[in-house]
Parts: sequence; C-alpha cells; structure tokens
Amino acid sequence: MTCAHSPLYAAIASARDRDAVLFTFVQTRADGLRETPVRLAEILVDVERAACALARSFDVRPGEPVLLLVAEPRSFLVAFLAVQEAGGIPVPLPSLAETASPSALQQRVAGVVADCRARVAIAEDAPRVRASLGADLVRELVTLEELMVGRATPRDVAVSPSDAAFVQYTSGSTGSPKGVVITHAQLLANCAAISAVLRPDDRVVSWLPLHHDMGLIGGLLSTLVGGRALFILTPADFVLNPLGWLRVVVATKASVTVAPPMAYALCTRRARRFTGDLSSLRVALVGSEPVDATLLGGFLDAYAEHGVRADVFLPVYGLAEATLMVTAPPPGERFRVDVVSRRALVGERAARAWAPGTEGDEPAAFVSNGAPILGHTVTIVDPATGAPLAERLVGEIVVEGPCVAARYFTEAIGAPLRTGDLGYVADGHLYVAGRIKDVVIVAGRNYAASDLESSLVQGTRVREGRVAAFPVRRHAGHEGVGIAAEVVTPGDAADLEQEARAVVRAMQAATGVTPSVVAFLPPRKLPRTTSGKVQRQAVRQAFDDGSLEAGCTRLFRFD
Amino acid sequence: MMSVSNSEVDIQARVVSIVRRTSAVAAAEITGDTDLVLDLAFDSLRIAELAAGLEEAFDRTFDLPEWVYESGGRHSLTVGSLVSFTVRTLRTNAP
Repeated sequence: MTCAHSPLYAAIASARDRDAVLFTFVQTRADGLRETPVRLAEILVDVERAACALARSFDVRPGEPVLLLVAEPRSFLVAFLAVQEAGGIPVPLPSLAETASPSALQQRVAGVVADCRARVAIAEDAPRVRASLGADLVRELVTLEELMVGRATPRDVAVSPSDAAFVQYTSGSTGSPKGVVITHAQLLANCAAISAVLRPDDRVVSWLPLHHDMGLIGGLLSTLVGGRALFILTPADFVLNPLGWLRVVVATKASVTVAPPMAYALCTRRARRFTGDLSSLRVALVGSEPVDATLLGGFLDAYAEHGVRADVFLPVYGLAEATLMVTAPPPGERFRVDVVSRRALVGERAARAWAPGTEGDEPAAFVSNGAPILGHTVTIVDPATGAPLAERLVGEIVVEGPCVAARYFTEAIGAPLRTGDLGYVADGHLYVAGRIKDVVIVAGRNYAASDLESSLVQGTRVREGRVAAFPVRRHAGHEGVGIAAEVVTPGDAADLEQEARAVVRAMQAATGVTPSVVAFLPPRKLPRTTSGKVQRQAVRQAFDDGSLEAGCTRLFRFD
Repeated sequence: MMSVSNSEVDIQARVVSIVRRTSAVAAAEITGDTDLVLDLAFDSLRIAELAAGLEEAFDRTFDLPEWVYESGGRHSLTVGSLVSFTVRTLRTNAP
C-alpha cells in the first residue's frame, strides 16, 4: 500500500499551513458580499474520502477519464483532486448550471464521451443531470456527497509527474471535440511560469469558469500552488453584475485579477456607476481573445480616477495545447502597441511601421503579448513551407517547450506545436494577428474568409450563413478562392449558371477577388459543426478529394 | 448612438448580427426561435461576450436579467427573447 500523493495535490498542500484559508468563495449580492472561506485541511480530508470512494466503489482505474460537471468552486476542487488521487484523469466540463440547458449538456457530454469513452461522471444536481443525459451516456453518475459516505483509507496508487493531470476540452464547440492531455509536470511548469510574473503575497480575484483553462489554471490552480490568497466568484455573478467583480477587488484589496478583454469592456461602460479604490490592483492579466489597444486604453481612462495604474494590464498569449500561458510581457510596464501599415500587412504579409498620411493606407494596431515563458521558444514560420521567417514577417506561430502537450486524448500532437495562429515578432515581443484557418491567401494577399463570405449577402441568392470560402490550388501552385454555398430556391441549370455569375460579381465588387470555383450544394449539405459553425477545412478537404464536386448540385470554374 | 426611434426590425437585425459574430456561427441560420444555449452552445463566457457586443453596438449598458441563468426555467434565451429584452432596455431612459 502506498499513499503517495499526486504532484498537484502535494504542491497545493505544501504551499500553506493546513489550517490556512485555501481560497474564499465570494458571492455578490444586492446587500453586499457574502464570503465563505475554505480551509486547506477540510479540502484535503474531503479529497481523501472522495478518492477512496472513486477507487473502491466505482473502480476508477489509473489513467481513466472521469467527467466533472461541477461549477461550485469548493466541490470542483475536491472532485478534481480526488480523481487525480484515485489515479484517474479529471475532465472538466460545463455543469448543468453553466450550460443552463439539458439538451446542450447532453450534446456536450455526448461529444466528449465519444472521444474519451468516460464511464464515470461527478455532477452537481445529479438527478437533473441524469435526466438530461439519459440512462446510457455515462454509466456511473455520482454527486460529491455520494462519494463522502465512506472513510479514507490508504490507496495503492502512485501518480508521477509524467502522468496526465487533466484533459482540457476546448470550450464552446459541441462537434468532434478534442481533449488536450496535460501532465502534472506541464501543469506545474505552467503554474510556475504564471507565478513568475506575480508576487508570493499577491491577492488574486477570478470569476472565470473552472472548466475553462484560463479559469482553471490562470485563476485557480496557479494561485493555489503559488500559495497566494484567492477570491473566487461564479461566472453567473459576473455576467449579471460585472461591477461586482471590481467591487470584490476593492473589498479584498486584491492585487491581481484575470479576465478576457470583453470583461474589461463591460466594466468600462459601467464606470460611472462605480465607486471604490482600485489602487491595490497591480496586475490585470488579459487574454483568451485578441487584445485590442483601444479597449485596454478605454478601461485605463475610465478607471484612472479610481486608482487604476497605467501599467496594470498584462496581455498574455496562450492555448490549451501549451497548457495555458506561452508568452507574457514583463510586469510593471504599460502594454506595448505596434502600429503598422495595413497595406503592407495585406500585400506583403509584413508588419512595417505605419507612416501617417500615406495615401491608400490605414494603420493597424497590435498589442504585444510579450516574450516566451522560461524554457519555451516561439518561432514564426511560413504556414505553407514551415520555414522560419524574419522579424516583422507575419506567419504561423510555432511553440516549443516543456508545457507543450504531447497528445490529444485519441491522437498525437505534432512537435513543434503549430498553433494555427498568425503573428509576428518584433524586438523580442510576440504580436498575434489572427487565425490561419480563417485566412485565404490570393496573389500574396490575405483575405479573411468571413469577409469573402459576407460579400455574398447582397446581390446573390446565397443563403445567409450557408457559405464557405476556402483556398483552392490553381495553376503554377498559386492559390485562389473557392466558394461552396447553398442557395435560396435553387433553379434549373441555366438559373444556377446565372447565380454563379452573380456570386462572382458580388465578390469582385466587395473585395476585388474573383473566385476560381463556385459550387452550389443541396440544402443542409454544407459541412457544419453541431453548433452551426461552418467547417471550412472540411469543405476544403472535400474539394481536394473530389467529394465536394461529386456531391454538389453544380460546380463552376472561372479560371 | 442608438435611439428608441429605431424600429424593432432594425434592432432585430443588429441583435442577430451580434449573435452571429459572438457565436462565431458564420453559417448559422439564426431565427427568432434560435436558442442561444441549446442551438448555439453559449456558455457564461459567450453570454458575457454577447452583453459586451450589445453594449458596443447600441452604445449603452445592458444589464442582463437573472432568467438568463435560470436552468430549465420558464424563459429560454432565444434570439427572440433577446430582441425583446433589447427593445425594452432601449426604451428605458438611462444609458
């Protein structure tokens, strides 16, 4: 028998005294804040009991995925650590409260179970979750309370740093989800990287959902491992009352918070209603979405009178496949903005300084995401050839380092990690410029696929939202644009030919681009995810392998 | 700035546009009955993004009602209910 604890458990348990407060759950109410402190000792006791029950009563085996449909922070943390202590792999997902819809929950869980074949799930409100999921989707559905009935006994489980700590499924998508397997070593290394830009005595406030990597690692785990004070709100509290978040910062004299850009935008618009002193706030981590300089500046302007420092923002870049954080600027400096020529960006794929007054040109501003975290490298490469690009040339962001995951649950992740994000490096700082899969390159110029698709809203009978723009190979290796679309009231062959010409005219007029291929598909045949998102890559693949032409109503070529 | 003189049709068009942009569902046929949670897989982060999108488009704050989070309640968060909520909010005075 051994009672060796998992590396994450050991790191959290050793970061503070057993009797110390581990974190404080804060609920924002009209009559004030309700604070519930949670002590380390009580968490560890509950983790031990739940881990025993998982191993003994539910036969959770080493390396077995266990779904977590839990939102309440205390229960989430106990369940997360208990699964690890039992040798399993926690798989955090939105809870029923988070998805607010039994059908949405069922879809989400079905997609994940199809990928990782989870047999056991821990859920809040298990009866309703059971009713939502049906009898067969997950074999064992239990609440945390049901795991607390026995007593803790030693377990014969040893978890090493190279073992999986959790599986992160990308949020939002319900179609063919991919779970990134993060090891304990990777998780702790990323927590250490986040800690490196903070101070041991920082006090952190987070409302981000714990099934989301930024909330789980950036808000919860890095703070617990770093031994810092943590105050957690629920996402619902934030959405219903965004200023409640900043009021918690004031009440707790927090020095650090973490959120996506839109959270700061929501607070900027409410600044006139805000009272309180935010001068304790030293670092506002911002990430998860492209960061806009105007948005950050607006927040600073609105809250300067409340003591917010000009250097408070720390825009970070990261992705689930690299655990979370990949780059960060040095704290204590105002966020850096690079203003470049949009013409050079589109025409040369280069980030050249914008010269005010240049005819036919506009500025494009990018916010620096700083330099790679310790032990990691970021390279910009040509998306087509993989060849490294010089400074200020825009290409695909490639990441190498110990935090890069080796695999999804069912397939390997190639090394080095091709992120699918576009960016450039200047003076050692990374600037993120978009997503590759959403860009079509024609004659060396980048066009957003959504812009090409939107150009067909006027002057055609293309069904709104049932169109995909994708790159197609033309002569001499040049790329062109293909359009696959469903049309309203498809007519005969002559009618479709007219419609194809209408598509060409509309796109030429709006973007200057002539599509090389226009394919009309029968209703509901355009590949989409179950959440309705166009699968441009699937359309491209179908075109390349001939199945698009075989299955479409008509295909026209304009080369 | 959006004013209350905008017709409901205009408001609906703008709300649908925001929903489409927020959901990244470039290909979705969004109707009044489209359920943001059920059909478009909105979670709390997306709902917060949606609120930010409404505020940017209409240049005023939109304090979301609690029924947005009532799981299985009598309300569901459809595009239609969001349009109605937007119209009601725009008719109030305080920006």
